[in-house]
Amino acid sequence: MKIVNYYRKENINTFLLILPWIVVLFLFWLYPLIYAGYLSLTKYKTLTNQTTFIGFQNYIRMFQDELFWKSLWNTVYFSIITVPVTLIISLILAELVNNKITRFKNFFQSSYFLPSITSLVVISLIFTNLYSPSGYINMLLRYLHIHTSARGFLLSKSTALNSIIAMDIWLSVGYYMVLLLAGMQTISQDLYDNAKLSGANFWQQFIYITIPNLRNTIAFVLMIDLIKSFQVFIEILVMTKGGPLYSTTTMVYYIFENAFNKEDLMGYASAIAYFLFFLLLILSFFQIKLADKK
Amino acid sequence: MIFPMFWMLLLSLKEYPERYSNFIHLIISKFTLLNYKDALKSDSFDIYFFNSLLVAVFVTLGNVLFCMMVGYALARKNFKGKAIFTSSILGVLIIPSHVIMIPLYRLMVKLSWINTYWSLILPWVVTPFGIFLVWQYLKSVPIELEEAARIDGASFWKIFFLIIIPVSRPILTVLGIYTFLGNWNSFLFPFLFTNSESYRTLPVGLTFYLGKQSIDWGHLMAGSSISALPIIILFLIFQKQIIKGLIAGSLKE
Amino acid sequence: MKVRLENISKSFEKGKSILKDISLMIDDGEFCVFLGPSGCGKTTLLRIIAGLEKEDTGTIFFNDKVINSLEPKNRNIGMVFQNYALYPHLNVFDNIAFPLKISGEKKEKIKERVLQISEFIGLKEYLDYKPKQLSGGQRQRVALGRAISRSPQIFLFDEPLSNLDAKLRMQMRTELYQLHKELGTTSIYVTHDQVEAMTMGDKIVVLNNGIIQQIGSPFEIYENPSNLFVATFVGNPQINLFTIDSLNLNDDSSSLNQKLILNFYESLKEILQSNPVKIAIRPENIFLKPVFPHSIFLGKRKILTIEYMGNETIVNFEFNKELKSFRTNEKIHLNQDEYIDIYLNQDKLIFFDNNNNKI
Repeated sequence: MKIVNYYRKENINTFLLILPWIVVLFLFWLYPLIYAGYLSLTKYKTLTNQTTFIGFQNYIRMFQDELFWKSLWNTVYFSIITVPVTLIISLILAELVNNKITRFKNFFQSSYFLPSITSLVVISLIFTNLYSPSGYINMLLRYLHIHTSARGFLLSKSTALNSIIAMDIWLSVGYYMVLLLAGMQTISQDLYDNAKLSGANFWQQFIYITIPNLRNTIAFVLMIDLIKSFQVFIEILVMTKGGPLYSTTTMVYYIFENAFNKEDLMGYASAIAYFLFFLLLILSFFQIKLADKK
Repeated sequence: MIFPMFWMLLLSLKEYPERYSNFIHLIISKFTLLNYKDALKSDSFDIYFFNSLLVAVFVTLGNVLFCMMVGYALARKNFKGKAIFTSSILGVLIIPSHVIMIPLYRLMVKLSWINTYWSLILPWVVTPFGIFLVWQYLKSVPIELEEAARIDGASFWKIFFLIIIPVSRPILTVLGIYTFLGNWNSFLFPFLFTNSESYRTLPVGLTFYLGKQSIDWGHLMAGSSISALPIIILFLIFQKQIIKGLIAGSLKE
Repeated sequence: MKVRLENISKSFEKGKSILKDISLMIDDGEFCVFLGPSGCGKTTLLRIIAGLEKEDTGTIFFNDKVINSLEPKNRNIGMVFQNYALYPHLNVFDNIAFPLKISGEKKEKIKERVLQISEFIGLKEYLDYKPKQLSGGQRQRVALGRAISRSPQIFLFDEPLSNLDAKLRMQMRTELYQLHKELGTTSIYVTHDQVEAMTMGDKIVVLNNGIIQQIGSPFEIYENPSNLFVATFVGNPQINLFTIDSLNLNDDSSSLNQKLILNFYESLKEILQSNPVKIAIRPENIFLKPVFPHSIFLGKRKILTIEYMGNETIVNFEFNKELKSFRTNEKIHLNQDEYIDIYLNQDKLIFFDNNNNKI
């Protein structure tokens, strides 16, 4: 075969290599993204399948919607509790695995890690049971003669969101522990040996060696956990459906509810989705800046 | 830490566990596999299991092949618009799937793909994460392998299938397991794109079961165990690859 | 197969020129070495011959047939890479068999050929081994085996020995050379190692900055370098360089031995008329006594270091604050800081003009 033909064939073949991504990109990412923007400017009638352009009315409505603000607050509350607590616990766990625990290290690591690869639906179901009036936690409280939650933790307005937060922290510490551990393993053991020689205890090593050397990884973990927390959804759908009295309605759940459980509000839901998109875009922007620094 | 898992197994092995209000009574009551039998037979968990398996297997196969193709092109080939192409992959990483769930649902309606396997498989057969994984890996593979193969007479696709794919086996294993886990557990889109029992996956089936009038926790936990056990087994076998994938996967979120 | 290159040029995207107007001729069965420092373009030239890279301009002939437009696989070549490039997922048998399988040979024929080759390269017992399980030398042999399995007309070697340790390198050098003698196939060998070039090459092409500096036999390259670059690049220890001023050749009051001066001027008159600026002499042409009739006395010089190698001794001495060296295989006893008489064999002096070309 002639080399000129070869180059032409090479170009065609290269195009075939990248074709799968081009198709998926345009059909399942770019088109929906643009379409979502368009939808947010329309009113869609479910029954008649009619789309009317209404400009920025959905956005205006959003800022006047008390429930929207409630869902935004719930999301922010969820994040500002979950993210720091998860970070602190997973940091301590990682430090323990890295420096303290020698026996059963693998078992320890895997048992913490397992929840993060188990289906979120399954986890949510288990916790629904644990939190229920006749569930394990109430059993335990009864045993200890402490006041139990009569309606179950998920049906009480004051405990529902916090219960989900507790579950989410339990669920994700193992995952972030592994990430942090990967970062810790790049810290030279010499530093620790040196500190031990000068008599530093576990906490001193943790605060003066691990934390400063792990700054970038910590910042990175904070960012990705924050972005993830802003999208909390499945737990809510399975465990509380946003209730009781909207006390667990987060932004994504509110989008979902408007789009799929109510009539004629798909356009409005799209507007909230776009708002969320820009919020996350700003967070991602910071994350990319952080990654660059790293 | 694994107490909730243990709790799930315990409930799944008891008949009507919700009748017990005392932990000790619950533990000492009779163990039975009846819940599993019922869940599979009368609650259609056999169908859900099949659907989950089918979707996860096809998405995984798609990812292994297509991410390999795209990642290979990025690592080795030059083409017009490569810079834009590369940034499109990066860009998609920051689009949250919840933002496109409404338009994607409308698209599936338009394509009449609701209640088909297409809607559950096709959008996810190639992912930025997988492309990145392969791309990074190929950077460490010497290009001379391909040049040697060219001199040995291998054509473009023979190089791809006989050299590149076998050489990338370690990273494809990571990608494959990671993709399988993710899709076996995936909930949101199967939940939106199906409303017929015969296309539901396990997680979707479980949530609908929860919505029924009276919950039989024994059945529900048996179904949950059926959903969780393959993952736990996979995890025990491929722990190293999964952790590797997760560390690399942190790029994704 | 004869190889002829005519006016090959190549630049990289940023306009950086890699090869400038390369023309050369390699005879059938010849072992030709491309020698030069890293970045001189020797590997690019080899890859252009292989078809792995496209030349910007110029023509490549194999036996008077233009092959510019042929793909690598149709050029009938075998190539051995620096990192061996063995297929890691295939065992030794399948590595050697790969080119045969691709070209659709029959199974029995492949088996026969692979067995024949594995015997030839001495790896018959290792056919089931994966490359990872082999030593560096063995991998090298597998790479060779794969290259010869299709019985190519030309072998291309891209620094094939540079990843081996010194001892193994010497052994593989001999093996490679014997292989070449046995098969009689035209071979092109790229290296930056002058010892490899000198010991293996029938013909050496010295390259620098993408330009051919000299083409010649190892003897010609060493004894008769066409320019200063070749003179200094080849030879270890490096050739000694003197500026004409430092030797004061035109000055009667110089330190040169008065007896020899007349003679010296007579025979060099012509050369000196063309205004040389640099004079070079190999370390083995410097002596402690006027051994040859035409010897130049360089005065008493201080010994800086002595490198005793067993079969020979390299003595570094000071001249005009520069380090010069000579080589001797006489068993003489010298001490550091001792002053010795230095004589140059005048017949072996090499002169360069101000363009660094040999006069």
